[in-house]
Amino acid sequence: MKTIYKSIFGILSIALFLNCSEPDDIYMGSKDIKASNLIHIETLPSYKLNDLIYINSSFSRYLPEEGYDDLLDIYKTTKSNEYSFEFLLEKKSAYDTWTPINIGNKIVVNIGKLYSSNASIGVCLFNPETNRYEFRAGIPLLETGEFRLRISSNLYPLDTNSSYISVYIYTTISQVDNQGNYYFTVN
Amino acid sequence: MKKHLFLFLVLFAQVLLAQNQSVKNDSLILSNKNEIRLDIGKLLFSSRLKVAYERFLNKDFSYGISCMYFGENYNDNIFYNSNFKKRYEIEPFVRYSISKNVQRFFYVESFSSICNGNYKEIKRLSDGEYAFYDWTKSNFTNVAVGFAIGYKFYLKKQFCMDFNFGLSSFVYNKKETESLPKFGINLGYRF
Repeated sequence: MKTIYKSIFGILSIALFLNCSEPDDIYMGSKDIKASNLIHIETLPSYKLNDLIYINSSFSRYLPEEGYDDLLDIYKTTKSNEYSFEFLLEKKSAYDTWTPINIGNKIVVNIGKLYSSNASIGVCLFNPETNRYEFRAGIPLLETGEFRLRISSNLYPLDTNSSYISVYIYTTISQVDNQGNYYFTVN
Repeated sequence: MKKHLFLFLVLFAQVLLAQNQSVKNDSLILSNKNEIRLDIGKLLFSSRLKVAYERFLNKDFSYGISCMYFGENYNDNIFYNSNFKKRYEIEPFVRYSISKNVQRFFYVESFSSICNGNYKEIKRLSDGEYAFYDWTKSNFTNVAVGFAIGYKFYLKKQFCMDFNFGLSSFVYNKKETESLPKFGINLGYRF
């Protein structure tokens, strides 16, 4: 009997300890908004070797929010000077097989910052003179073949702490398909 | 043979004496019907003051009340890492021992908690021209009910250590939080 009580006690204790941890979603407050065409690809009619394909993102700190008439100040909400998004260049190596191209240190950054990991992370920097977040970078096309540029449609603030609120922006990119891919050929 | 018989008798007498002593200790503990406790875990690790009073009805049942004061500056980071921050808590409880042993036993507890504090929520505000989101604080007073399990043992018949874990949920207006865990390490005195 004593063993049964001890076992029950032990199991309940573990269950309670697991329950004591806070749910993740309350560690940092966040809001999601949608905004169209905050990222776009500066496309060319055709691409040849050593061309640059530019990714451009420039958007105001004041964005419309669904359901409200007034604009939302994302800078005042997040206190963040940086908004980031991911992109990845892939080359077709066989039928329906795409291989990532390591382009991190070859990208020409005109405005903003760039971080590289598995994908490249473009960072739109806040410009207080224009009240806009801005990024522009060119990817050099150093090989011929069929390529696709994958761009995430989520922009998320960097450099925030838990006492501020993150505003995640879901945007559209007019040049990409439903999966976020822009296909092109380099001759 | 005589030597073995002598040893057996000595051991038998010691067992009887120990049993007698244990019964004596049990009756001493049971004769004291009141207990006060201080949650040393909260005091040492989070600067919260929690004291409890417990009245024993019989060997199995007891009831009591505990009060906890969190203090104005109690770990303000917790406020930003969860949605609510309590200021004080009053907790009536009923306990039932699930062990036969009087000196060390497991128990189950049913409790309610009347608490007061702040909760935070994100609100859309306006500076006159543009909107922005920010955290806002509001006061709350609420009642929670819950269950706990625990283990208690007595040292020197009157002093006890008491460990418990529990979970409760607010009865109404649950937006402050979904569940309230509690965990206690108590040092008590029975009189």
